[in-house]
Amino acid sequence: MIFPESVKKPVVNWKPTDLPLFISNKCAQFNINFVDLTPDLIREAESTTNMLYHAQVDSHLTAEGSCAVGKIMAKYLKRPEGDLDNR
Amino acid sequence: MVNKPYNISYLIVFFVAACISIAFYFFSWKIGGIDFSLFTCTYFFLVGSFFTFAFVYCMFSGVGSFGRILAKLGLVYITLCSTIIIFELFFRVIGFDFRRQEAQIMKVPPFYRMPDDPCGEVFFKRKGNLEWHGNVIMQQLNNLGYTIDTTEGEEVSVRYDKDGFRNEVELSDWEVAVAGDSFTELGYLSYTQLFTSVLSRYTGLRVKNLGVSCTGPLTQLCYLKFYGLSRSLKHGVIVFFEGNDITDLSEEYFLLKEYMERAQRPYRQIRKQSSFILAVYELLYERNKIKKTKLPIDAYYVSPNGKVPLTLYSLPLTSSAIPVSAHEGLDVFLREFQMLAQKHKFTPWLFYMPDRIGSITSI
Repeated sequence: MIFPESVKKPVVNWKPTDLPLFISNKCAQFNINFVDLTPDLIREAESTTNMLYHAQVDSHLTAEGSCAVGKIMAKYLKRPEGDLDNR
Repeated sequence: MVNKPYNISYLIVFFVAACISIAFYFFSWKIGGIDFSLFTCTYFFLVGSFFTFAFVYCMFSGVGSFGRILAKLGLVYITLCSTIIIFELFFRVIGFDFRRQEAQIMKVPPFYRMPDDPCGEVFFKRKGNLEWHGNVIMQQLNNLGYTIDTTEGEEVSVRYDKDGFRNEVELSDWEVAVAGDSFTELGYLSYTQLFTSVLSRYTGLRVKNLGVSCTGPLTQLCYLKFYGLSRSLKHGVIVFFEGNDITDLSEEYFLLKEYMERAQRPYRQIRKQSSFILAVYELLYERNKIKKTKLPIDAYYVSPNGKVPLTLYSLPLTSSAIPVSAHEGLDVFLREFQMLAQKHKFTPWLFYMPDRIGSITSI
């Protein structure tokens, strides 16, 4: 990503946070299966020329992004219950 | 009487004039609405007071041409005030809505509407059987006063089921229920493009979509409880969006606690704007509004197709920035999710949906 000079520091210096890990630990505490979609979406974004999220007007998933999420979720829900080794 | 400044009649009329001025001030401020400019009210008050007192003074002094001019101006002002007050009362009594909010809401695609149908203790869902045809994203941008060249989204027809969720194929039974916020509703995509539809195609399982924008995890759990349970349910899914679900959770938990203490739930009803004075003020203000033609560019994403300008609306929180209320709310949410899953024998899942910045900064 390239940032214009006018953009504030918190945006420029932003790094992925520990929020997924925090939520993951909480889920483990209550026996809820946790899946972080981020790594799969990053892999998907790297392998396609299409945008997975809208760029400017909206910040939600594009049709391609939605399709990617559906496929990723299918990968987990098709597995036998409890098999979450490759999260 | 003129020559006796402390005459009782003089004081009574003086007192009445003062009351008229103060009443007008409160009328324009209190009844005019909280968003009515205090400055405008004060302005009205000062000018009104001046001419009202001037009028009274001239009536009782009765001297000179200057006095007569002031007396006439005072009379005009009082007539104007009386007319405005009559209009104000009339529109308030008939309950006229100057903002025509019901008609305005119909211009907003369902995806961008605040859910307002009460559900559970303090939560809301969409009303049932909503439909929309057109480019949802661009329509909303237009509603917000933007006229820009960029285009996102496409023309779609969307339909909501009788409970207000995006299930165009009515299901009587299903194996998967997915609740979430706008990232699950995706009200600008066609039904077949929803990830819940894709999930159904790839797994062969029947999937119920329970996504509604402007909701947090506690609302979504309520959807699972009331609309997500079925005979064949195997997987209960909540899609947790890192962008705003912590904030939403914090607000929902606050409302839930209030409900526990006072047994009063919130409602989201249209509050009519029946003030004539405020309507005039808004009309004058709206005329000076400038059409927005640019969206801010916060970053450029370097894609294989070139540089794509991005507008970043929010940044995900770190765990240390999570407010205490959200910590408590998260525990309540996860505990109840686990209990619901145990009681109805389904597997609970939480899918963590990254914000856009989270999924592309690593590329």
